Amino acid sequence: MAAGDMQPMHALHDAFAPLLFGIARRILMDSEDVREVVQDAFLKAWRQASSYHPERGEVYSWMIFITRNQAIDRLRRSHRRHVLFTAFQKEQDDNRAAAAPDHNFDRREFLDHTLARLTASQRRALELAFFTGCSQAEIAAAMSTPVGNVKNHLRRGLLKLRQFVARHE
Amino acid sequence: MNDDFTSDALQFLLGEMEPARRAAFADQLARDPVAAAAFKTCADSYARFAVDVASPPPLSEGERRASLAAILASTSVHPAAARVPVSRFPQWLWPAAAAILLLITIVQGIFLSRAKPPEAPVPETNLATTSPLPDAGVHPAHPPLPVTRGAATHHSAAPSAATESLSTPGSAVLRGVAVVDNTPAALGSSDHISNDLTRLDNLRHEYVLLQRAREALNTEYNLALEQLTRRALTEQGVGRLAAMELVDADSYARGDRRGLINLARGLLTEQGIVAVEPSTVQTSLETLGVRSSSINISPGDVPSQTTPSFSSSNASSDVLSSGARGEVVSFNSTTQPGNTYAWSVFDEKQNQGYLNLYNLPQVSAAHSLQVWVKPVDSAEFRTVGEVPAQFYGKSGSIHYQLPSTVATPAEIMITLEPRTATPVNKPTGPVLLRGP
Repeated sequence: MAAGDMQPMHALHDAFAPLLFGIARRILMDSEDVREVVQDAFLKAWRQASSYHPERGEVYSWMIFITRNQAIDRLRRSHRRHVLFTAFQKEQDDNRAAAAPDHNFDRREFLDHTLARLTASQRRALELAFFTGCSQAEIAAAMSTPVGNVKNHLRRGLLKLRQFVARHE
Repeated sequence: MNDDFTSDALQFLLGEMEPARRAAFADQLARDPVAAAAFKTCADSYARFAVDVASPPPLSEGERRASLAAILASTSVHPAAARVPVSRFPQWLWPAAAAILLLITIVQGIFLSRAKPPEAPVPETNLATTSPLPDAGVHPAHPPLPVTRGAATHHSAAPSAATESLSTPGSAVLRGVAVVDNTPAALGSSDHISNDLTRLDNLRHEYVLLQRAREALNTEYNLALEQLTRRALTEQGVGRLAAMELVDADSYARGDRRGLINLARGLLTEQGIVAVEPSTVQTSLETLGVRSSSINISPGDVPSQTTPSFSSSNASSDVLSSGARGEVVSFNSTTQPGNTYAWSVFDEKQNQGYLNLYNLPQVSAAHSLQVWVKPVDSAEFRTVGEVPAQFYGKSGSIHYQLPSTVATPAEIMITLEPRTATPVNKPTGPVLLRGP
């Protein structure tokens, strides 16, 4: 793909489009925004394929963070962040049983073994940081806790996630 | 790997690191394989976490195809199908843009032909030539901007202006355009055309941004209105009020409204601001009392279009507590033709309505303005009465009382009806105002 070959784009799209649409939908409310963000993410990956470093992450995580950052960028420009934030706080977790997308890791196992080990605060801090683009100070305000605690939640939460991945690779 | 590294990795991934630190961190990853490996586990595990939280549903085949087609169109070196356009974008813009470009080309052709000596030979190859745009299909309409947030790492997709360098919607359309022109100026003006195309693309991008800003404002408007209403109902105990605004027929059809928020702020959160001049109260009016000939137009301030103000030294303490059946209240106004507008509040407890009319048109003696309401439990409009003739060409306000058996109005309409011997029992004439 780095050489401009379009064939990998087909494979990349088939493998990751559901994931990236899911990420973008979680961040943005407007379906048109979602579609454009995912398209931009694939285009960016195509144009900047040479900057991908396998030693720093799998392709799916590279694509996911490109999509996430594109979506947060758009969210900030559209001034709807506070609306999302409010909706995020009220959101129920009753729609988690959606069908598994096509991606190359065992999500069920990840869910069962790792997320269960995160404390509620750790999970919430990680979710807010990823899906709202809130600063640590804003997360602290949302969680009614000092910024230091937020930093600790993020750090410890990520360490737990890392430990699981490291054990299974 | 210490805690600081984990924090730095998190900031790097989320694009929250300052450029200098970002560059230093990327350099560390490039030099230290152990650090890179640790970073990899951070990125991969956080990505897995995000996917799990997002719980992405499977894409439908249609969505998948549309997405892939749009991406391939944007990356293809051949003129291809356009990227999926923004549906809100007006369809007439591209023909208009083509017409403008054609006009520019013609003007330039005329200008250059006059500037050149008449004997200058015209290269034969310039005639009847198809001249594609320079580098058509290879470069995006906007040249990529440099990444400003640090070194070029694979996670340099930080939220920044850098993402603007990606092609904007519709850019693939521009890339595929080929201009056929027989004038000798055509080839020489390709730079101008390219600039015009870029400007058009920028305009389109700005239009999309404006549309989204409008949506955001509408969302905020609805939230604010909801909060104000809740506050009025719960904190000030003003009772259940149904408020709506009425606009002209065209605006109604388009869904355009002038904004009830300022009205609601004044009416629902502050009691007693609506002027009720005792001298204007007519107690002998019929259902509406709007045919009274003794209506007084009391002096007062002219209400603005968005924030009407009412002036009276004898203001009622509560607009709807007066309970005046069929009373008519009015105030002076400067007529602004073409700005006919109204808003209404209905007290469900008293089954009483308040209708505020702005800048009504002049109406001939052979016609009248009739007020109609459609109760929530009915599909038909029912008559409420006639707008006082004294209000024609002016502004005014009326109170009306519905029978207790009639439900709250879901819609209000004012129509122009002919004066006949028998009153009309359903709206037949052109609609002057309708809401909500």
